[in-house]
Amino acid sequence: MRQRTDVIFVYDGTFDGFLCCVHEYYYSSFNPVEIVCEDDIETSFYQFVTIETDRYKADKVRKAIEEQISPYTVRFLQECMLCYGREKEYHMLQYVVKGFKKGAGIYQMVEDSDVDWLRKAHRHLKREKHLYLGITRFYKAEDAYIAVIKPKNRIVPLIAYHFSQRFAHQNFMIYDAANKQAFLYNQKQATVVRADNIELPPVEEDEKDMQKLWKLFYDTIAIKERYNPRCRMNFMPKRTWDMLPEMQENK
Amino acid sequence: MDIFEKLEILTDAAKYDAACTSSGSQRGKGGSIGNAMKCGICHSWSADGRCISLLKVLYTNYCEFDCAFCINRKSNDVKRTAFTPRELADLTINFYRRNYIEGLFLSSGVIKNADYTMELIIKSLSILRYEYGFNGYIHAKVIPGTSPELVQQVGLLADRVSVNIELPSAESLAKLAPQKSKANILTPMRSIAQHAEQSKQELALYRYAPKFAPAGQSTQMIVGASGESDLHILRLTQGLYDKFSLKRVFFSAYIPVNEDRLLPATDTKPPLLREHRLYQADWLLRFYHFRAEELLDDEHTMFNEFLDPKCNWALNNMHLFPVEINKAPYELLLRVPGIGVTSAKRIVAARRVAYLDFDGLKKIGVVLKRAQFFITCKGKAAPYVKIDRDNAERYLIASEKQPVAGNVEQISMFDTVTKGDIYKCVSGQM
Repeated sequence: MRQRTDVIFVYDGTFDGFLCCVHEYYYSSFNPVEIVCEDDIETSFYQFVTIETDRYKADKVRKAIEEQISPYTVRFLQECMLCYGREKEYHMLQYVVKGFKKGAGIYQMVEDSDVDWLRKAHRHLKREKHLYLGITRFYKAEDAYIAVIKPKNRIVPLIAYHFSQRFAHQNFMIYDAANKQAFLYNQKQATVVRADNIELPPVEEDEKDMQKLWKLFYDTIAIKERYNPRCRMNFMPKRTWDMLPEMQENK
Repeated sequence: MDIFEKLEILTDAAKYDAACTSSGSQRGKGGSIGNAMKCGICHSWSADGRCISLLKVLYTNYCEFDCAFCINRKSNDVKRTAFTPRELADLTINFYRRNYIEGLFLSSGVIKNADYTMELIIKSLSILRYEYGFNGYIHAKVIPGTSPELVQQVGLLADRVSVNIELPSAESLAKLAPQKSKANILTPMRSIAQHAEQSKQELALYRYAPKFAPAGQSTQMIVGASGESDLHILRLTQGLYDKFSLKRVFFSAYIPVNEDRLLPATDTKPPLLREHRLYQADWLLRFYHFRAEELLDDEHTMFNEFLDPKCNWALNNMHLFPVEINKAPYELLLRVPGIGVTSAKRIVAARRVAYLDFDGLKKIGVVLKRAQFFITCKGKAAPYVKIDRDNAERYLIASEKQPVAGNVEQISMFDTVTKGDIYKCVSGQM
């Protein structure tokens, strides 16, 4: 067996970049103890190895995964890229390595710690996505609707389709302030862009009235004899409250 | 009166309706705004922990009826108002565009008569659907006594329609809701069921046939306002599922809003636990192939306060247990307390490839807290668990509210220990 050197892989944060890391793992004698995106490198005792993204290598790995594991695995891994957590790429690499040995059955091997980690992260992503289909709140500014969200996972690409179907005839933007991503839609084009610094238009008076009306509805609909704040927090965690007009104190 | 005040009055009057589901309908093509998702989406949760997915309001709180339990009854002195169809449609669209809501839940008090009120509701919904091209979810109430033609119209506009039963027996209705009767509630229900069936057949022949209430029919009844037993309510519920193929039956714990000698005193607490038990039983009927007669009988007409209906059934049928996880059919797995539809399906899938033991069960995500008293793996019970009715009962009661560490047999210090004593003892009240 080859002696492998412990290193840290640095890649560009794209899915193709990750696939190149897989390629590098098989064609070099490095053992990546961590795979990090070039944006969030931290000091470490290990040597950093930068992996260049190469379409050709990525396609080769993608095809291998499709053929030897399953086509669904590619989609699963693509979605896992959106999860939060520094160690996700490491678990994904282990998943692929084990998948090449086990085949399509790898997804069912929940007793394996890497599979378990990924499946849990993926479930968390899907749940958060569903939550944000409901609690993304828009406000109207001139001829566009704007929403600001702060999810843990990078869910913007996942919720984009839903909102572009639902609000097909209005211009809108969903800005993920936590992960610095935005989805822009103008009835013709739809794009997800990286957004480090966005200046948002203020909430106008008319819009404030609409928010007050909504808060009034929200406060009135609760039955006070059944007051149950714990139950509410289970469904709607406190970290989401500052994005919701109905949870703001009356000013 | 401005829109703020109207909204406050008409929301306050509508809040006792339990249903706020937005699932079961898939709309999308055509129209100019919105769609409906099969899975349903909750948009917020109010301070009582109930989800808000629809703009739940009354069209008006003027009412000709004088139902004793209702805040909007004719004899109550409350501020009355009504939306105009336009106001309501604009409000819905404005909320919808900001993603506050999934759609509209429209109910109403009765102005003049049932048909007149229904026409107003239909007018509002028509503006939304045809003029604004609204494709979101709509739940509409049908007033008891509405004529069949109007029922058909509203069913074509809404995703879900419902007629509230309100009180679970004809006698209670006669006493507390004199203008409602079994006949004028069940007639629209039957006609909804017939239209839905007809629409289903038409859709099979021609895919563009109009859909009649694609998310089905539901109803609601009040629990605790009149003297009916749980058995009575559950039998009625089962009957409704069987006869009218309802999607849901909602229960609403009675909250005293009026002083009336026919009703419980105004300081009565809403029977939330009873409501919870009924919902648990309702789930057993719909997803676990249980029948009402199995859960309750003429000797036990009310649910056990300390145990959920499934545990209670299992303890009374200990001769069926323990079941062997690796061999038991799916239907029997479903009946094990602590194993639900998801777990049962996972067990069936997993045992095809491997012989399951307790560790394996935990890994596929089956929770053993309750199940351990009713199952064996490879012929053996879980370690340190004695499969025995009394042992199981004691532990299950204890774990219902407050989990205790381990399940070591407690030596009894008293000859007669009641269930209540055990509950108090383990929950630290004694």
